[in-house]
Amino acid sequence: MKTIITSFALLVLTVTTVRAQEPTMEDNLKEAYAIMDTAKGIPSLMTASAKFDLIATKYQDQWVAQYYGAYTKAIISYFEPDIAKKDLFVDEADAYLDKIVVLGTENDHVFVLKALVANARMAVDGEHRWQEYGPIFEENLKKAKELNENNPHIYYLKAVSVFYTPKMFGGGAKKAKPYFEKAKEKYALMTERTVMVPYWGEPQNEDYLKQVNAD
Amino acid sequence: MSDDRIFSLTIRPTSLQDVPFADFCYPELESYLYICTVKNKPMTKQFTKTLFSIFSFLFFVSVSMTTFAQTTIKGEVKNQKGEPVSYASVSIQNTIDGTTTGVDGKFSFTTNLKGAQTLVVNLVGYNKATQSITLTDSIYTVAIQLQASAKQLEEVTITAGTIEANNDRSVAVLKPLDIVTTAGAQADVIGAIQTLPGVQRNGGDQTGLMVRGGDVNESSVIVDGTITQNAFNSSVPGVAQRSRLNPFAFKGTAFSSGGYTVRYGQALSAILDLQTTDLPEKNNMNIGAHFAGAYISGSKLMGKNAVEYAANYTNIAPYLAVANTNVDFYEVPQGGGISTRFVSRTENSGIFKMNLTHSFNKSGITIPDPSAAGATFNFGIQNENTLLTTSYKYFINEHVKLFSAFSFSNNTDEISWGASPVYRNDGRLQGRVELWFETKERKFNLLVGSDVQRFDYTQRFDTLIGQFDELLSAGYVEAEWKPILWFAIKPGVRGEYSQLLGKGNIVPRAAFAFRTGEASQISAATGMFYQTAPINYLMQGYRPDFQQSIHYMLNYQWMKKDRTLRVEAYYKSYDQLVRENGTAYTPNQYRFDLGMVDNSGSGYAQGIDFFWRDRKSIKNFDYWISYSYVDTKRLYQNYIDKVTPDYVSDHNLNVIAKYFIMKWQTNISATYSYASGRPYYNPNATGFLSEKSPDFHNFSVTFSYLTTIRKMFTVFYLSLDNVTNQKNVLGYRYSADGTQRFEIIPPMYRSIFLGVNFSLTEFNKDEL
Repeated sequence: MKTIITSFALLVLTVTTVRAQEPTMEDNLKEAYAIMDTAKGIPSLMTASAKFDLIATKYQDQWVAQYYGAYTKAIISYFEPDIAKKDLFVDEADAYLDKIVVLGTENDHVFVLKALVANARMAVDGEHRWQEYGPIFEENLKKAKELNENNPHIYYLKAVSVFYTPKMFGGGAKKAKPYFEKAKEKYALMTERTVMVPYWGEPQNEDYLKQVNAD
Repeated sequence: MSDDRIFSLTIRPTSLQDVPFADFCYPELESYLYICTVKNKPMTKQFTKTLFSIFSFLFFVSVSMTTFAQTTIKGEVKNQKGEPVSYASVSIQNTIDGTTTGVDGKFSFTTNLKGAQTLVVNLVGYNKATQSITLTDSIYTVAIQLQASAKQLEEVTITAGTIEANNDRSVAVLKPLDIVTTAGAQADVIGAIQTLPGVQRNGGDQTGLMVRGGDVNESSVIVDGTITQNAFNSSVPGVAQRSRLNPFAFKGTAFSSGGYTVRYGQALSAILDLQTTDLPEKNNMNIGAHFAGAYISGSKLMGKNAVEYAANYTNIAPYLAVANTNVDFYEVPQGGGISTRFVSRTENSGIFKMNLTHSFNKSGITIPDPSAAGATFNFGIQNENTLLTTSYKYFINEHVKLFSAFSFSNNTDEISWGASPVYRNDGRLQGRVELWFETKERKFNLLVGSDVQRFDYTQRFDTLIGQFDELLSAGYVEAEWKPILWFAIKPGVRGEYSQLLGKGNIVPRAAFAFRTGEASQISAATGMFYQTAPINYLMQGYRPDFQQSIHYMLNYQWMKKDRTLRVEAYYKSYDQLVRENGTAYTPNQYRFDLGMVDNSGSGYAQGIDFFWRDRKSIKNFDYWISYSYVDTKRLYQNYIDKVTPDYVSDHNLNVIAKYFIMKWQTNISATYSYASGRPYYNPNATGFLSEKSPDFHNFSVTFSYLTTIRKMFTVFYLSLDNVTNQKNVLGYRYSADGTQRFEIIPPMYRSIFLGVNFSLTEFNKDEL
């Protein structure tokens, strides 16, 4: 019996110590985000996406886990060449958005994400969808701005959208430049870079700025 | 190896033998402990005690171990065809142990989990696959097959006979915008439809749609579920009229060149089914001016309701100033119209639409006299038209939809036909109610509906009065069944009763579709169609029986990445066509002596339609080719022999190209149309309608320059119709004694049209 008690005590001890070593959701997200951040195309994006999917499934009640699930799917949809499949990726992104809605999280990041997903939906067939999804994109950016006007993603997304809008519809590099610059300012305000507070887009913003300045 | 497994391994039995009497163990996620069951019941205390000793034993064992036994799970993921599937996510359910497959479909990952697990394989476009596996400390090899999901392998759709242009589907043969921007169509929906396969190119002398050997009476235009009685401006002898339809009012266009749904009847050949737009996205206003007038339109959005308004004034004097017309206007055509529309989105994505349009037009034109070749006469017309349409779509629940539509129209023409005054009036009241429901799996749906239409026509030509009114009631049932992804069948039956004739008919129709590959499908349709005699017979009091046609069609469609190929072969038989007996033939459509009228006419039409569109090969370049061949003969109306009718060209070809030059912000659209010669009547020839006019050629170009002026999106457009000034001859007319021949020519050759449109949309505040 003594042995049993001893081993039980030890067991409890182990439980406590080992629990501390177990990677947190943040660790998991970090790992997946690292793959995503360095991704050059669909293969590594898919790997990252698969990881984010598993994390989102495990941490059903964490909005940030759902956030990255949606974010990755939306990004993949831009890269996917097949029009029919593009929509399917956006569908999955939408499914994550629905989960966030159920969780009741309403912060600036969520509205930015909603704008991003609407933009991804529009990009599938821009010519015919801008009328429907353009306003949804704008509206969500507006809501995000009301909650936190320092969120750089608001300006970054708007900048990219203006950049790719044909000149005759009031877009183009020149019109987009002030938005990229504004985004740069706001990125600079972010003191820490943690995966728990989405911070994507800064290197891309720099790339666009270079391109816009060169034009 | 991730270290989150250390603990679980420490206390985890390495195999089932370590847990005596337990027959099943599974990991409990929250606690990272194994729960074991004995004969499917949770373990009793007794076993727990035993477990403790095991745990303690294992604990010491595992602590002394530096490495643990891991299982490598590897395998391959393939699709139904046995091809490797890349990028599929492979994981163990409820864990984050997993990986993605490589380009060869292979995967490999390690896990510290043991025992019975569920492997989950996931990929966009495929159904999730799960497989139970039992892990021991070794290599586990597994082969997984993924099934394409319904969405990926897009469901088979019935395409025989119908070309759809719809904004709701991401993949469609044509989009409404494509129709509007087709050169040579003069921004007329019908003009654009004439470039589709199966449609006869109208040389400019006839008003209406002529489809697959059918004449202008045989097709019908439907807007939001009800027939538009006056889809075209009132006909003028020898001068084609535009449709009254505003091309920007529609979000969906379904043109059926045959074998159409049982929802509609009274068209022996074809229907054009149009759906008006839903709620506008934003408040907006459009102002435009062109060579033939000016207009203003706009919409005001109020939550889920919207009001739209439009007004226009037309006067073609500027147009006539630069165009050389082949007819003389003694009174410049002018007119105006106002329309208002109310749209409301109701709960459950229901939608209510109401549209009221009123227009007025008048003109005076000197044209060839249809009753005397070589002579001209003055034709003056004043037209007033009112159209009210409402429709309401309501989802009772996700699977049950109710649709109702109602329309009212009144149309008056006051004509001066040479010296004779002519008065024409027609009106229509129409209602439709439909109930549609589908099963939960959406494999089967059923549509039950009924429509009632009452219409009347009156004509007073000098002292001759013609009049009739008709009440047509119809009921229909149509089912659609997709038992498997690659097969669909759509049978239907329509019953109709004409009060005027005191007769009814019941017709069966059916369509099928088989998916033959990822991008291709074969579709077939057949059906019977009835139509009452043309109005000029009814107005004179003749009551011939229904005319009849039977359609058979076989369609192949291949659609991949912005490339579409459609080939359709058809055979159509005509029976009980209206015939005039006891009168001499005259090529005058406006003849008054119709003799003895019966249903002894008949005919056939057979042919092949071809459509190819490619908007992928060259960036910003989109082109389509439509070609139709028709072989048709009929004995009807005042014909004296079974021949190819005088409105038919055996070969019709249209090549449409659109190129957007980004740098110039200019869209160039060009259309080349070819139609082989049409038969014409030569009293001196040995055969009836045996001679053919020269071939028809037309090349048209439209330039649109798109820009933003003071936040207003602006489009300048310039259209050149018949750029080469081809002097097309559509046929010939002979003098009564047959000694003199006169050309039938279009109302104009080359023409220029210039216009501008400003559109102002409500802005969002700047984010900066």
